[in-house]
Amino acid sequence: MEINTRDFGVIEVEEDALFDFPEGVYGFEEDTCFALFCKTFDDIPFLYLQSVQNEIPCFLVFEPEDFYPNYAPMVSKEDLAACGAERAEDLVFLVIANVPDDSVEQMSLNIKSPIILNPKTRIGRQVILQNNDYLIRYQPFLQKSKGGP
Amino acid sequence: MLVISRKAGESLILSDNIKITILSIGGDRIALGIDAPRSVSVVREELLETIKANRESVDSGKKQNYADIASMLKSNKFVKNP
Repeated sequence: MEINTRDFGVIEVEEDALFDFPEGVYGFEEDTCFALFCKTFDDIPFLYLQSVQNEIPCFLVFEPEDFYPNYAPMVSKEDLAACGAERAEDLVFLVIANVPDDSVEQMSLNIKSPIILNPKTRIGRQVILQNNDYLIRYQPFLQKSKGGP
Repeated sequence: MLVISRKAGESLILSDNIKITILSIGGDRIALGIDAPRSVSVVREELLETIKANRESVDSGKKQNYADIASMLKSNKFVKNP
């Protein structure tokens, strides 16, 4: 199907790129269907979670393991059940990036509140993890220069 | 910051009409009961911070930044197949 995107105009996505978000994401509760797609830029794949209903919200997302070794999300039973999953291992985790316009170095990732996707039920959800030491604004580039997590 | 020590079952009152009761304490968690007028919004801090971060995020990471982000990812070795 064709969707309107924030950054790439109208693009074609396959049905298997679509996920239902019955409760939206925090702050955007009206957006209940998102498409996950990839665009390559300078040989780097960028992942986007784009609302199907509106051009905004669109989130730049990353796989947390690339930035945070041993990422071990603790998801509540209620959140697992809401996506029709029994174990966190059945889910795909993505973290939302926040990139200040004037300083890419200060990019932060919300590793405390990842997006979880269940590929089987096609249901997605944003969850707040029970991990007390995970930050809402984790800055991978600044952390790296300090020696990493 | 004001620090008040309370036991399970005890309460404290904020501005006459908000009552916070310590319901139970177990392990590293406590359960709080909150009696407040409907007009008072009660929200977990991390939820509010997540909403703020989400709202900022939808306006970030746009096309003009991709080259910079890509080069930062490469130079910090945050990519699987550089």
